[in-house]
Amino acid sequence: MTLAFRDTAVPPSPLSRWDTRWKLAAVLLAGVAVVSLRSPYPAGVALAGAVGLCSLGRIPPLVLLSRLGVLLVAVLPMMAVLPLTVEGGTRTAVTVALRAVTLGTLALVVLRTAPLGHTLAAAHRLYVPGVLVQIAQLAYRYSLLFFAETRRLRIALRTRGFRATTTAHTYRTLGSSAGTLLVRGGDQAERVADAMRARGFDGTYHTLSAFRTTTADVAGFVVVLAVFAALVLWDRLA
Amino acid sequence: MTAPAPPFAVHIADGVLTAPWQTGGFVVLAAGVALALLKIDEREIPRVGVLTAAFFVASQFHIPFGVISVHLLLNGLVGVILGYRAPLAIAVGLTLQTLLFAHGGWGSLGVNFAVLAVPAVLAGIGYRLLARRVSPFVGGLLMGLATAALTVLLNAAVLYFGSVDPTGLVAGVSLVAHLPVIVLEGVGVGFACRVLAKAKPEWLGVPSA
Repeated sequence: MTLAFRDTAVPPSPLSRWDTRWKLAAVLLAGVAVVSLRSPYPAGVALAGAVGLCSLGRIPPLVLLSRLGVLLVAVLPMMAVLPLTVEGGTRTAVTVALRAVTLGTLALVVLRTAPLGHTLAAAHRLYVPGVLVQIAQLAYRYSLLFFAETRRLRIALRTRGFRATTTAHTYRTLGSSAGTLLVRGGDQAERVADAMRARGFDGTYHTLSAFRTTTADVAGFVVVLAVFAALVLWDRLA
Repeated sequence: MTAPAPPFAVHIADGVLTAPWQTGGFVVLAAGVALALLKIDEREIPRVGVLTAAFFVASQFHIPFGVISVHLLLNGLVGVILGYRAPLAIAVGLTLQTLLFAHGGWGSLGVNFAVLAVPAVLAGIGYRLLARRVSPFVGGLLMGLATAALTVLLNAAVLYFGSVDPTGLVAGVSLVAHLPVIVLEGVGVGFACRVLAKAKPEWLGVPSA
């Protein structure tokens, strides 16, 4: 078992001050524009734009490089196969890779420039159903608990001499551990649900996140939208 | 917060699928989530949240299998416990995996959802049909195997018919690379169901063991 997950802080930046609703809408529309790109040059400029947004959001370079690496590994099979199997495959492979990396980088902008709870509240304001937002918030919270619980469980297993290998004993132990984790998580979820109901929760989504639109928020939205719309235009005319 | 995603994970990356398939995937996603939201009771939300978290973190648990390591899918277990609400957990879990771990893709989110959610819902139906005939372990094992096999087949079929690679090479490699996952998923879901049957039988929709 390997684990790599932790909650992260949001550094102060112009993007962290950008109204999350406008930021989310701008990034979503920019993502739609990126998906529609067919040529490598506009896709390359789109990636540069996404990296520029990361820089504006003061996202640490190591975090950005790590994300770029993960995204490149994910598209590696297509990049390896397309040049060998399709006429003009190298161009297609490069465009595919650039589009994928750009979308992942835009997602990083959303993730690292506002707390996740705030972003989910903004998503609700943009008409994402409240139930889905609640499930996402609970899942995020429980996943942090799951990871903490897993660490404790792993220490307990190791102190009893357990080592993960390809044996029936390993799979029985890990399967039972997964069941135990679910049971503990479920018990905790039910206690939290009882506490929520005791405080008047009736399934309606409420948030303490406050949103206020300024001229700068709208201007940021328009600039991002204009840049990515221009890229689509360039792509179609090229 | 990112972790390396294996290149052939059952999550199709961005840019791999053609536009009609991506659009079709989002239609299935919208329909699946809308149906799963019908008449949902607020008391169900915490359990869906827990299973969403389990599905979401499953991609981070790498389990040894010979000389390689693979991660569980857990869509079968989600389906067994949540039944027709499983699409909610899978939709939210996939979104969080894509956002936090760059696992999968935004354009392919709908197709990835369809590949995982359809087998999950079928697993829920299948487990309830099997529950009174076999032990929780055997029921979980069979549903885990069947769900993972169907998921891997659907994933390969989507890559074969809907990807920008016309040769089907990526689809073939993906199919072979995922075979170990089917075995592990079956065994993992089997043991998890055995524990749940003792500790939380109501989650499995069957009487106490």
